[in-house]
Amino acid sequence: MKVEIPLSRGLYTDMVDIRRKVFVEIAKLFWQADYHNLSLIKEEVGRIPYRVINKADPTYRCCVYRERAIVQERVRLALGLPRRHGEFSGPASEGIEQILKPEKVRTHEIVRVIPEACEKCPSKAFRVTSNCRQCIAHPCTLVCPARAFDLEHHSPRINGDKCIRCGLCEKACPYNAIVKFDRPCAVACGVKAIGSDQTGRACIDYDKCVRCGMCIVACPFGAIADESEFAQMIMALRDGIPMYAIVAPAFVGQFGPFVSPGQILAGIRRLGFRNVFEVAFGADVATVEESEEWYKKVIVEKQPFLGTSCCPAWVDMARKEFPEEAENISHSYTPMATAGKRVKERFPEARVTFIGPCTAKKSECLRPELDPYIDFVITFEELAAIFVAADIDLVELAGEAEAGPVSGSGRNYAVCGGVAAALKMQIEHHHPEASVVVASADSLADCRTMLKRALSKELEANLIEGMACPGGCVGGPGILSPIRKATAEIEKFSRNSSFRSAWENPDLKDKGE
Amino acid sequence: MVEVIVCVGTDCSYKGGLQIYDFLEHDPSLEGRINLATAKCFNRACKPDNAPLVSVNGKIIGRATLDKVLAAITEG
Repeated sequence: MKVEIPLSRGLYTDMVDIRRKVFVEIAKLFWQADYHNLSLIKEEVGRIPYRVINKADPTYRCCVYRERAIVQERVRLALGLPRRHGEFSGPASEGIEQILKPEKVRTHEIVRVIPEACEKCPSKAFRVTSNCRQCIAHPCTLVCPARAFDLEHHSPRINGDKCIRCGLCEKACPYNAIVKFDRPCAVACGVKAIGSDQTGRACIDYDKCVRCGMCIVACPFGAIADESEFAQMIMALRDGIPMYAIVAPAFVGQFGPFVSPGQILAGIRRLGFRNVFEVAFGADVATVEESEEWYKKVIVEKQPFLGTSCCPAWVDMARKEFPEEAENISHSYTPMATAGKRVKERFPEARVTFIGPCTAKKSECLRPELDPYIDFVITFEELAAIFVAADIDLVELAGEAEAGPVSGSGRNYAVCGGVAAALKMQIEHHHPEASVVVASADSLADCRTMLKRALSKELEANLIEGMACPGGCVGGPGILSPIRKATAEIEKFSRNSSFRSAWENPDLKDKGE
Repeated sequence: MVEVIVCVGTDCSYKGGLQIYDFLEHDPSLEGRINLATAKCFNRACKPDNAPLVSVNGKIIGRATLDKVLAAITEG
């Protein structure tokens, strides 16, 4: 089950442009200025909306003032500032004292609607478009079971109050003149967490939201954004705190075809990190642990199946929607947690930054049991802004060797199907008699369908892999590279690893033997 | 043949240079009309706020967009 990757992903839209400009401005500010200088920081933060929207006439909205008001809210989210109640309340730097510290500042609700930016898209509405020929037969009005067509006008109109959204008129029109409007954010949301507030703007139900971030990249008005903490991470780097970075397996190919994985690692070290490791190492650990868990639960205890644990959004969705079946989802730590834990065991003074494509991990790292292992979570898009601010050009750097022994199968965790493939290989090596039947799904809607079918025994699989993003982590909201290209690069990098399977990893003491 | 050079430095890539390169590389209507190449940097001409850079027949376009580049290619 591979979902279709939306065509809009990977394009350089004006929306992407604004987001990145905001990131670069903030990264530059904290890279250059001393964050203890409160008055300077306040003044500079107030200037950012004027730098990003620096024209006299509006480009995107009704006026430059609204454009700047929206940028101001983006700046606040990118700084990790809490959302204010009421609209347009006070300067961008309001409350900034609370977040000027080199540590975690975010809350769990990291995915935020920017109400000023929301254009109140119609939700599941049918409209008659200009394709209408005002034909004599007008089958649209005749098939309508709700008599929702208003015929007093020259061309038919649909009365939204009467319409029951059955879609028959859309099917009956010979000119394709009737279209269904929907909110891109709500369509992208796999857990139906997006509704409307009393003004008609999108709002998020945080009891349902699993922070996958798909609404962020789906909204063409950029009205949803995630909270960041790369500013705090820069503060920690500048304070000389011993910082270590761990990069998600999806990092390969993110900076385009002209930058090698080794150059990305070199660039991260150039920022001032003491060292950088691949999270794929944590993936190897997860492979070893989860394969044993699978054997114990599925073969010994006859549990029907085991769900993988590496995607926090999928695990969250499964536990929230099927709480009584939670035992079927693996309890292993995610590769991020495992890698962070390993770094802190080796370097007790270390502060660990996870760099990846994922917004769900921004929330995952706040869970009390993971809090000690991961200090900051940033995305590739935020990392690139810091490279620009620090004037580091990856193409000019000498590449570095691999960051520690990591298996090819661990590096393939970023691609849909990669996790299950690694597990299957590991299980078949240690328990050749066991029969592993894999099912995998990417996108939360497909994950839910897969899980339901597995629970009703309709799906014959005893190992199921869920990924919230299209194509796997490589399609996460924080990526830079088009999904297909990055997938090819990751698969190449994985193939060229010096060994293939987790059990061959010399750094794993407990090899699950 | 029009000589087109796209800067693939980190600043230019981040601001959309890669997508411009990708389009020029795959657009069939440009085949045989342009010589496409990449550069690591155009003497830091992107600083402080001019990225992405694309050079068309030796003339550097700052804050390049696909539209600007295609127009320059048509002019030759």
